Amino acid sequence: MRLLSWILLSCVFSSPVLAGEVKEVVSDGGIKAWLMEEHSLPLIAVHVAFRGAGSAHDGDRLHGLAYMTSRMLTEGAGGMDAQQFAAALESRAIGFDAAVDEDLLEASMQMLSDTRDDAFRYLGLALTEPRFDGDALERVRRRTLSELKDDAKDPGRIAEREWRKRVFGDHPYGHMVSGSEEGVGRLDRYDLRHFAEKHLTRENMLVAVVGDITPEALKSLLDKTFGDLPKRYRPEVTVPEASPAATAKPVTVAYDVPQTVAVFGLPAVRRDDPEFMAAYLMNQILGGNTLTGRLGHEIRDKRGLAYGVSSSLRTLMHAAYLSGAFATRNEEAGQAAAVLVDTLKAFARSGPGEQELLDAKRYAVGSLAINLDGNDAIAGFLITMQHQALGIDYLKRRERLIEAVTGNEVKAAAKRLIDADKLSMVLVGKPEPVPGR
Amino acid sequence: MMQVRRRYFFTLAALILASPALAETPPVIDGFTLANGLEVVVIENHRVPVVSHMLWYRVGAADDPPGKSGLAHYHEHMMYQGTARYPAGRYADLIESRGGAQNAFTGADATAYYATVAKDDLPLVMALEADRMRGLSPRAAAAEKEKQVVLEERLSRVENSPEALLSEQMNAALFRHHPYRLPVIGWAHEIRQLTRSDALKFHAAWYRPGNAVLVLSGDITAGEARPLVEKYYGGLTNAYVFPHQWNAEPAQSVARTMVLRHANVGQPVWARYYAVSSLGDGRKEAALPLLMLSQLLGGGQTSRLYQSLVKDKEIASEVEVGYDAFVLGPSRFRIVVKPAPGVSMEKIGQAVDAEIAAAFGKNFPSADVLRAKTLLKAQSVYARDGLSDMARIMGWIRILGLPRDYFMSWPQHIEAVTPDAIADAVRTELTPERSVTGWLLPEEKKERR
Repeated sequence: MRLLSWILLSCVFSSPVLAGEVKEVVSDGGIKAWLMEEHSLPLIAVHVAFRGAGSAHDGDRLHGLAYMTSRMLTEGAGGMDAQQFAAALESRAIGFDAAVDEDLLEASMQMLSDTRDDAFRYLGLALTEPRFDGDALERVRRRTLSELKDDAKDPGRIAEREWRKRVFGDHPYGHMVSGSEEGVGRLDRYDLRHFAEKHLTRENMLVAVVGDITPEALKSLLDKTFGDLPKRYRPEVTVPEASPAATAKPVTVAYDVPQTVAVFGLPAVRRDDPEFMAAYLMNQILGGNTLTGRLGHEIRDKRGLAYGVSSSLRTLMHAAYLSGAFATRNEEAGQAAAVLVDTLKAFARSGPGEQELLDAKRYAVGSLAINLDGNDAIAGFLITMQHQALGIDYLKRRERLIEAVTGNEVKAAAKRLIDADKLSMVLVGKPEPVPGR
Repeated sequence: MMQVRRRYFFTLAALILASPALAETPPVIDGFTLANGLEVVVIENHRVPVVSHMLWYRVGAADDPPGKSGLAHYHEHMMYQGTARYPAGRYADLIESRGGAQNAFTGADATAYYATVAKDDLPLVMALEADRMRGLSPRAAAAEKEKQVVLEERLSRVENSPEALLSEQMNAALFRHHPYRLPVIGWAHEIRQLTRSDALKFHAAWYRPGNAVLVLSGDITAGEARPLVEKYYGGLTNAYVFPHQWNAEPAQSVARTMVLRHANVGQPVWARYYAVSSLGDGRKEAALPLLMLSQLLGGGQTSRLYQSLVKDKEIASEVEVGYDAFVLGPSRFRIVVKPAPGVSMEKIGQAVDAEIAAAFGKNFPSADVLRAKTLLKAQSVYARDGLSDMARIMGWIRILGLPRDYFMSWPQHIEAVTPDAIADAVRTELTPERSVTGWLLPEEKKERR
């Protein structure tokens, strides 16, 4: 069976992207970037990420600080105010955006090859000389507060917020990435500048470039673009290791909507854990795809109890967990929650079938190759590879790593990780019957 | 991997093509038609050995029979509930277990089923799609269960969201008679009455090779595609498909206002929809000027409404403008504004009306127009990065009945849009009689007695 499964896997296909060369380019000043060349289109995608510059570093008083900093990176740089900066980018059809999660602040830029030098210059300015102008800050603050107001009334966002609070408590992962009305209302431009100076530095920077550019050309741009960033990363928040706590029984937050939204979670394993690949495939089988995962099969396909139901593995810098969600009309939500728990228990007991595992492996190998079909997608994945320390040749090694996972390893992962005593669940709505244990 | 928002793209659901000035090789776009009427479009992209197979049917929610809103969408769900040859769930299983991605969408004008797979798996996808074009065989229990799934989908997308509820009502008021007034997902009370038999009749009426366009995007040439398509689809029998029988919309003659107060509103919303021309309907020459207008009025920080309402007057926190040119019937020009705290709906309306009036007969600065054109043109190059954008773009071109080479001649069309034509579009298309204005507000606080 092992030989057969290897043969079947290797027949999936080998994508030149997976086989493609990822080169490390190092500038004279010591700035590193990962590059994958592609000269069939005159396009370049650049992703720059900063580790440990996400919402976990907001601090207690200013929830939303990292989020607001990322939003302000597009609001003026160097000698250009927000409108001038926007006009300069638009007139060259340069796309530029920045976002955060708990751990990372990531900026991405898309450019046509013939605007390359200008684009890199604007990128460098945005990161090294962000303006944080008062009037621009007020506009971005108003927009963010408006969104937070909406979040406070959106059942899905309420569910996520309540789940985080209960499983992480006061830990820096316990608040929403976009922050709170208090934090966003309170911060000022000095807070933003302070955050940028401590967290957007050469020491914690990751760079990925994909497209129509040679290593020599990239090398000559790196120092110019990033050389003026502060050298040292100086975080002020220490983020302890954490594991999501269980909820003794599912927590119901009463809210007047016709459909209950539920979020659930379980502790999982770190990215560098030897069991990670087994856990990854385990999650793929459990709820990676709505239509073909165990959860989707039981809740949606067999019983029609939900439209969306899925689960995913998250490996943060200081926590690892499996989380998922589903939404079911109030009258059936209690039943859906019960089916979820039963499905988890059954999976923990027996693990996957042989065919299920083979299908999951093929999906894992093939779906990445299919998703990495364009510059931007590839650049984003190169950042992930650097961030999770997967190695520059990871794309070539990944298929073997997946193939090597055995059924017993996945069964063991399921037994160990899908532990009803460690389950957390929050429901927002008016579920009937109210789920207990 | 973190999702990063795209700020400068997708504000316009339209195609923009390579300007002749850009030094790049044009895409190879070819095609052919089978004897049974199935049209095939092939877009070559040999970067990765992957092909996106997108099968479009010229039928959508606008074809839902009277009293059966949501049928086209319900039928889309039923396509996964089994055929004589493949039991329910097999379609998704087979494709995903090969590492492929698959999905579908139902729109008002068209329904499309797409799967992206390794090149070697293309025959499998064709076999599956030809099989379900031939006919469906869902079990009664599966048909009933899938109706529940659709109802859950409606709850998720619409009934759990006050903003979506208002939008649904505004559409129904904007188009009084045309089937675009119907929600694609259907009204809940009509979804509940749909039957398995309805879906099968719908399939027989519309799902024929002569009513479909197959778009292949990726590592394939027309020469390679032809024998495969012949093999898997050639045996399907064509049959007459009725042309769309859509009520024509009577002249838009009265400005409408709607107010929705809802307990779950956090941020109030001011919205305005205009019923306007498209590439498929009305004054078709106004479509591209309207597209430019959507960029000039609301395409980011430098746009007119953002400058006026967000930056200068500070009465709004956000402005969004949308227009889809690739519509067979009348299109919508949408303006959505989030008022700043304490600002009334009336004030927003006055400010928007003032900006639109200012654009009557007064051209936008040529620098603004040039910037908008640059952005639109560049998107054609960006669209070629990856497979799915091109598949979608060419699909809409053919659904609209535009020639395949419309993709290559687009830059000339964009260049030809003059500031006068834009001002003209404002005058004739963005008029109060063509509009619905919606206010989304929290519930009124009850007075204590």
